[in-house]
Amino acid sequence: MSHVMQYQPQWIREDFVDFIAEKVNPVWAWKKVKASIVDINMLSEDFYQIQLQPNHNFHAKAFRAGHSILVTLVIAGVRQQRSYSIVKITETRNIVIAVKRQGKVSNALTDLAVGSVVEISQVQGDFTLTSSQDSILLLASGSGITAIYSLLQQALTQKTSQIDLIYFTRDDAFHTELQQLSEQYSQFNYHHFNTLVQKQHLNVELLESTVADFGQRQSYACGAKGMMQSLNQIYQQLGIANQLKQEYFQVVVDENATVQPVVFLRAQQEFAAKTNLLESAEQAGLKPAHGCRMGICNTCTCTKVSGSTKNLLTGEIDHDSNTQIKLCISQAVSPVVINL
Amino acid sequence: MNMSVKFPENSKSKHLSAEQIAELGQKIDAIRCDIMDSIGEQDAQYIYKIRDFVRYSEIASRGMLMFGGWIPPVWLLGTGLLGLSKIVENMELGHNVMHGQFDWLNDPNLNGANYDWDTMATGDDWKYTHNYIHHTYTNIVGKDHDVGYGLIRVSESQKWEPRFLFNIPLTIQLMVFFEWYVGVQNLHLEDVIAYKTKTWKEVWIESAKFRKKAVRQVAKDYVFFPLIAGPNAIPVFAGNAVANVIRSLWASAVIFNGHFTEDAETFEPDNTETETRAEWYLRQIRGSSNFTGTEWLHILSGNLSHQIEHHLFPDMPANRYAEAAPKIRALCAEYGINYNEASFFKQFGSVWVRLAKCSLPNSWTASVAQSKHKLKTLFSF
Repeated sequence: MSHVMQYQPQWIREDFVDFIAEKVNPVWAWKKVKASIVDINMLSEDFYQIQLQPNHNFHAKAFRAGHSILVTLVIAGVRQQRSYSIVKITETRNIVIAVKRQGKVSNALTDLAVGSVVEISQVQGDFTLTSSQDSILLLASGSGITAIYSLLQQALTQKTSQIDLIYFTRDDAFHTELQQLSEQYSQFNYHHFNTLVQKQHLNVELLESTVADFGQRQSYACGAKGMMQSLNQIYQQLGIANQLKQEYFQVVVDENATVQPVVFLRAQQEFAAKTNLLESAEQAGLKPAHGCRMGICNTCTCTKVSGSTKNLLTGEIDHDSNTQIKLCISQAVSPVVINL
Repeated sequence: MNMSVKFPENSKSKHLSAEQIAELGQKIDAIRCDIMDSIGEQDAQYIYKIRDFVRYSEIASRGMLMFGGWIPPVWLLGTGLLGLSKIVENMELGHNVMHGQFDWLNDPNLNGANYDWDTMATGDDWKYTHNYIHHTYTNIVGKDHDVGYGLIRVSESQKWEPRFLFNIPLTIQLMVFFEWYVGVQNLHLEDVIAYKTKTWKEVWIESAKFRKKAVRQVAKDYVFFPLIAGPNAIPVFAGNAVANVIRSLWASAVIFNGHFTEDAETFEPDNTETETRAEWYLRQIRGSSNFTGTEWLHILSGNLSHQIEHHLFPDMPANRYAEAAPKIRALCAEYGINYNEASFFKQFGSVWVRLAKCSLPNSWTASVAQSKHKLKTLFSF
């Protein structure tokens, strides 16, 4: 099986080196990226902009607008991860992210004091701008603005001919900056909808009235479930779904669906899962490492990169990214990506 | 009787009907759910405390050997502490982490799939022979390689061979070199040496992973640390060797106490295909034995002093077995199942009696028992 890596003993244990290093300086690590919080700035009541100063392991040069980082926090003894879009990387290679208090990790992160140290990942993601200078449409709602704001800045610097931004929000986060930018750059049109003041849903009429030629443009969207669903429907009906690039920050789960597409990342295999993941993989001709097939031996434990699975023993649903699951007792309840 | 696995007839445990076993299974599941639901911060703190102890004790002991190894009391202290550090790393940290007991921490360094411990066996090999084979086919003769390790005879159901006359001395050297035996367990060397069904060439190919790990272990304890100690090279070398043996002796004693005690049952033949989860539970209880002791004894044994609970719930954080034990004991009393528990020394004593008995063919031990009985009746007049 191609995914079984050649066994190599750890000559020097990285966790031991890091253990010593962090006693000297909490940001020090051998390979891991760690960062200290240097600034926390309130954007609105529950929306914070956080500036992180990473250690030398961080590859700032790999950053492209739209990329995100994973932030790892220990909450009640357990390491929890969440991905945050990068607003920008400063000249001093500090990372700026915006965090909305709407989940376990985000709440804990915004509660941290300046000077705290967190573990982060390298930049990641494929929600990035194409290099062409053709006109684009940007759509954001709520905290989805962070990724979109980053794309906007890149679009302005690479001289994209026409940029329209439709932004649904309940607060004024980034509103002033966006207004200023629209005054400064003639090619940038800003369409702001404060949904607290006027209820407004995304529909095809709104799109046509604000950006008449949206059907010809490459579109980028990041936002809450409601907006993303309407947008997908519109683009599918018009047959222009291939012009839409999108980033979700909420997982859509259909717990009643029985067949789910599953991807084994390293093996580069995709199959439809009907029963537990181990059995489904085997029916598809794959041979993941396994042992007891009853959830005790831990041989088939692997990392679920994304998607939601149900533990068949306990009935628990796990929505988190990068958690450990046992293939033999897990069932996919959404499309799932596994690091195998 | 349509039980999947045939249970021994001369058992201290009552025979249970299929309904009773199913009911027992549900009650065991309930005990498990209760505890697993409450897993959280205190368990995280516990395992990180254990890991920190392992790190600090290793640093301290290696430091002592390196700088003061030539002073006999310092050598003794350093060697003892290194042995202790290796014991806790292997038992309470490594063994339990590799069962996936702490996967829920999402910490890649304490993840069952990644962890590789400070011993000859690779984490991968161990997860196969131990987590899978031993924990699934527990005590089934001919299936569970831990029943004698292909080297000694621990059950009357194992076929007697002349080499088992040396059962006791074989066991003693097994204990001394235990980490090496566990390292090569997956290679089934007995198939080459005793049964001639395998060749050394096959062993060489299969042993690629083990050889890499062994080189790392030997280079670390017997080349690198002695070298950097300069003039203290010899005391460091000796200290590391003795610490490794201390760990081997202790680990093997704990494991023998878990499955080779007088009343720990072995099973045959293997019908696990049709075995229910509840029947599997029952087999785990009847094939395992606990020993009692103080808190530090439980920690040093990796909580395998609660072998019964470990076999019922191999993926439960081991620090919680003490909480499950009284509940399982009460359940066993309710159903008339023998809950095999005694002091460390009593259990260890019974292991050697069993090993001695098993060194002779069953017919001989039977006639010895008969003559003993005759003598007793003779002298009772």
